[in-house]
Amino acid sequence: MNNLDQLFARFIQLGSAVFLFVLIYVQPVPAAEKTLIFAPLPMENPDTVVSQWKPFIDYLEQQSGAHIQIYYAEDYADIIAGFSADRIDLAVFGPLPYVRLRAQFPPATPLVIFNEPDGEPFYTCAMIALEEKVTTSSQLQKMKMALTQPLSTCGYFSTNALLQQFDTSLDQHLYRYLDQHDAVAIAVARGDMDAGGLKTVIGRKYSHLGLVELAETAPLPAFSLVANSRRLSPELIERIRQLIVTAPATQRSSWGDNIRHGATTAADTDYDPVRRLNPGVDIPSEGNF
Amino acid sequence: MNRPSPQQSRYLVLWLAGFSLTAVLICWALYANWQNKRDGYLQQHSSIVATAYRASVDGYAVTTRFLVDEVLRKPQILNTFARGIDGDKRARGELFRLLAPTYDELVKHGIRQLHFHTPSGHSFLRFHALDKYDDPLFDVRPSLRITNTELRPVHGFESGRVISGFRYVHPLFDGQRHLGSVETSLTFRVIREAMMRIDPERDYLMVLHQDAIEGVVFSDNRGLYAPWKMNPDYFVEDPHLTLPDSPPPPRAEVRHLNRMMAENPAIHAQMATGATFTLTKEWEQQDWAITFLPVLDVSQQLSAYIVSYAMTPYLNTLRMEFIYTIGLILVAIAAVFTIAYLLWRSLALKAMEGDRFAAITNTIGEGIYVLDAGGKVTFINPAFTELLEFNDKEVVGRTGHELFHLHNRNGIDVPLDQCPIYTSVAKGLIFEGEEVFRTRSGQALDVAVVSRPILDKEGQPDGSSVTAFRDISARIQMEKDLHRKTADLQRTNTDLLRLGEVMAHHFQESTRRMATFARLLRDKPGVNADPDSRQAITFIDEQAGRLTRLVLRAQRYLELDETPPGETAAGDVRALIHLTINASVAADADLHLAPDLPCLPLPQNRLHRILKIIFDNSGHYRRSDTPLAIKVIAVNHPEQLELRIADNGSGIDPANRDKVLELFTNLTSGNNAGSGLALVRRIMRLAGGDLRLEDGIDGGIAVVLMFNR
Repeated sequence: MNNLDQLFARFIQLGSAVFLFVLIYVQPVPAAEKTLIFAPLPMENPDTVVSQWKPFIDYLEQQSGAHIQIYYAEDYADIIAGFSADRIDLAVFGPLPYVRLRAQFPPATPLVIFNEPDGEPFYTCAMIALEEKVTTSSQLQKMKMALTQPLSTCGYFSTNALLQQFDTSLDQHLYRYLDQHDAVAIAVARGDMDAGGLKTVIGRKYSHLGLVELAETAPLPAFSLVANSRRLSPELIERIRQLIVTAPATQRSSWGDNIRHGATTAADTDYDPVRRLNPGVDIPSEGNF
Repeated sequence: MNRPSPQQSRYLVLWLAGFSLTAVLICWALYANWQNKRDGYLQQHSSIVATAYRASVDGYAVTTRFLVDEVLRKPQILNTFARGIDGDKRARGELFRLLAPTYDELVKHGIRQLHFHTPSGHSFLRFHALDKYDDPLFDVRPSLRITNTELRPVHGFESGRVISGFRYVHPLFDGQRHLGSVETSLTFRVIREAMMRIDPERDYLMVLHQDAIEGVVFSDNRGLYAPWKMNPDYFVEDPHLTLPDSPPPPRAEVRHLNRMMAENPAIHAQMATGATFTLTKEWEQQDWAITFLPVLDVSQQLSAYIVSYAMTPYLNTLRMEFIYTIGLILVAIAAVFTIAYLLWRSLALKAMEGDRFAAITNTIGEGIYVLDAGGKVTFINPAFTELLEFNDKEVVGRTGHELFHLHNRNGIDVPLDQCPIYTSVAKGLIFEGEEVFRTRSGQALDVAVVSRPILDKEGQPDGSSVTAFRDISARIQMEKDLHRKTADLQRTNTDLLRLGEVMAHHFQESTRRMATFARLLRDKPGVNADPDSRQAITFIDEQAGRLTRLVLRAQRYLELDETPPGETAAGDVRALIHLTINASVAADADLHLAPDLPCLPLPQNRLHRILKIIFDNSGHYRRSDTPLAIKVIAVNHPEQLELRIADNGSGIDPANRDKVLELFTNLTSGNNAGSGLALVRRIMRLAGGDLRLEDGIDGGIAVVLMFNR
C-alpha cells in the first residue's frame, strides 16, 4: 500500500512537472521575446509609412519591449488575408474594412479607436452638393457622384446608404472615385460633380464655397488598431491598448496625422452603426463613368 | 672631395636659406595668384547664379502681370470679388468656379497659387488651399501688406501659411475702389526649371531659413519641412515630394556633395551672414562649385538660400596650371641660385687663390711684379719692396722700366722698346737673364730675372707679364772671388809643375851624381877595405836610389794634372788586365777574371797605370805561404760601376787603410815610396770616380775602383 502511495505520489509529482512544463511552453510568448507584425494603412508609400508610423512604433516597442516589424500591405484585402493566415498581429483599419474582417475572422479584436482631430473617436459621413444646384429632391436623379475610395467608409458604402434615404442608390447614378475627401469636396464645389460622399467634417471645410449637406450618417468609429487575438495574448492586447490610450500628448505629437489626436478604448459593438449600413453591399472597385 | 670650410658651409646655409625664402615667397605669390583666379572664377559662378535667378524671377513677373491684366481684371471677376468683399457668401464659391479652369491652366504652367485677399489682408480665396480662408495675413505676408497699403504690385520670394513661393501680388480695383489684391505664386520648381533653361549644366536646391517657417506656416503644413543636413538652421521643403509641384529630388551627385559638406562649419558661418559665396568640393576626381545665393523676401529679410551645383573642370585646369607653373619656377629658381652659387664659389675660389697667391708672393724671397700691356706696374710683392725699397704706392701705376730697370751700371738709359724683358714678353716669349735694377735710393742691384707673358684664354699673350727677380749680387761677388782663387790655384799649379821639372832635373841629377860618386868611392881600395867606409858608401848609394824613386813618384803624381788622358778604354778590359799583370811582379798570380767585365770610363793608359800599381802591390805584399791569387770582378750599381780587384796577400789593417791612400805613406820598412795607392786614387778622382779599400781574399786586400756613370 505504501508502495502504491509512493508510486502515486511519484506520478503526481511527474504529472505536475509535465503540466508546469506544458503550461510554460504553451502560454503566449511574452512580448519581450516576440516580434509583432504590424500593418499600417494600405497604399501608403514606404516613406509615408515611416514618417507617419515610426514614432508610434518606437513608442510601442519602448514601452512593451516587443519588436515590431512593419508589413507593407497593398490593400485591405491583403491585410485581411494576412490576419486570416496569422501573418499579421496588428493592423490599422477603417470601420468598414474592420467589419468585413471581423465577419471573416472573429479573432480580430479592436484595441483602440484613434480620435479624429476634434478629439472624438467617431465621425460621420455626409453626402454634399452645391447649394445652387440642388434645390429639390427631384434633382437627385442621375447625378454625377464624387466618391473617395472604394473601401473608404465614407465612399461608396456610406454614400450608397445615404442615398437610400432618397429612395435611390449609387447604381442609379454616375459615380467616380477621386480618392481624397478634399478632392470630392472641391469637385462638387467647382461644379464638376453634382454631389459627393465624404467625411462630414471635411465637407464642412468647403461650405464657404456653396456646399450643403444633403444627408449624414450616424457616428461611425474612426480608424482603429486591431489585434489578432489568435497570435497575441489577452494580456499583451490589453497592455498595448492601455499604452496607446494613456500615451501622453507630448508623445503623440510626433505620431502621424491620423493617430496623434488620442485614442479611445474600442469594442466590437462600436461598429454596430456600420453594420446597420449594410456592410455586405457589393462595392465596385471602379467608377462607372 | 675637399671638406668645405666653415665659411663655405656658412655661405651654403645662407644660400639654402635664400633659396628657401625665395621659393616660399614665389610659391606664396603663385598660390595667391592661383587663389585670386580661383576666387574670380568662383565669383563668376556666383554672378551667373544670381543673374539666372534674377532673370527667372523677373521673367515671371512679366508673365503674371499679363495674367492679372488680361484675365483677372475682367469685370465679371472684379464684380464677383467685390460682392464677396461686401459680404455676399455665394460670391466666394462663384469666384472659385469662375476661375477654376484658369487655375487649372496656371497649375499646368507651374503657377502654384492663386490667392485673393481682402483690403485688410485677410485671405478671401485660396485656390491652392480652398479650405483655408479669412485668416489675417498682414503679419506674416509683408508683400500683401505693402500691396494693400501702398497699392502697388510687389513680387519676390516669401514664405507663406501653406508653402513658400515666389510671389507676385497685384492690387485689384473696381474703378477707383480698392477691392484687395490677387496673388500668383510660383514654386521653386518653376524658378529652378527657368534657371536650368538659362544654364542647363547646373542643379539647384532651395532651403528655407527657419524664421521663414516658424510661426508662418500653418501647423498642418509644418510636416512638409525637414531640416537641411548641411545647415540645420535651414529647411528643405517637401523632401518626400508629397506635393506634385515640388522640385525633383537632387541628383545623386548633389546628395553626395551635401553629405560631404554636412560638417562644414564655413557654410554655417557664411550663411549666417547672408553672403553670396561659392565653395568647391572634389568628388570622384571632379571639381564641383557649390554656390550659395541668398534669397531675400520682399522685406529684404534673409528667407532662403538657393544652392547651385555645377561641375567645374576649369578649377582643375587652374590647379594644374599652378602646379606646372610652380614646378617650372622652382626649377628656374634652383637653376638661378645654383648658377649664382657656382659663380660665388668661383669668385670665392678666385679670392682664395688670390689670398694664397698673396700669401705666396708675400712669403717668397723673390721680388715679383706684374706689368700690364702698357708696361705699368699693377702688382708688387713685399719682397719687391724689400729688394728695391719701393712700396706699392710708389710703384703701382708707373712704368716699371723707367722706375727701376737700370740695365747696366754705366748709367745709359735704354728705351722701353729696346728693353730685353719688355720685348721678349711682348713677343710672348719668356725672358730669363740677369739684369741690373735700381733701388729707390739709386743703388744698382744685380738680379736674376724671369719674366713670363700672361696668356689670355686663347693662349695668346695679352701684353701683360709677371716678373720674378732675385738679388744675385752675393753670387756675383762669390763668382768673382772664385775666379780670383782659380787664377791663384792655376798659378800655384804652374809653380808645382815647375817644381816637378826642377825635381826631375835637379833632384834626379843630384841623386844620380851621388850614386855615381858613391860607386867611385866604393871602388877605392882603402874605402872598400874599411868596413865602416864601405857601409857608409852603401848607405849613401841606397838613399840616393831611394831619393831618385821618390822624386820619380812625385813627378809622376804631379804630372797627372798636366798629362792629357789617353783614349777611353773602350776595348777589351780583360786583355788589358792580362797584359798588365804579366808585366807586373804578380805575373805568376792565379788570376780569376769575371767573364762579363764591362768597358770602363777611363783612358786606357791610365787604367793600365792603375792596374799596374795594384798588381805590383799584390806581388810585393804577397804571402809567403800561399800562392798569389787575384780576382777581378765588376759590380753594377744604378749610378756607379765598380771594378773590384782582390788578392790573398798580407792585406792592410782596416785602421791603416786611409793612411795608405796618402802620398808617401809606407806602412812597411821596405824601399817602397808609399805613393802607389795615392796615385791610383788621384787618377780615379781626376776621372770623376774614387776608390776604397776593403777585405780581399783570405785576409788580403781588395781595391774597389768606383766609376760614376
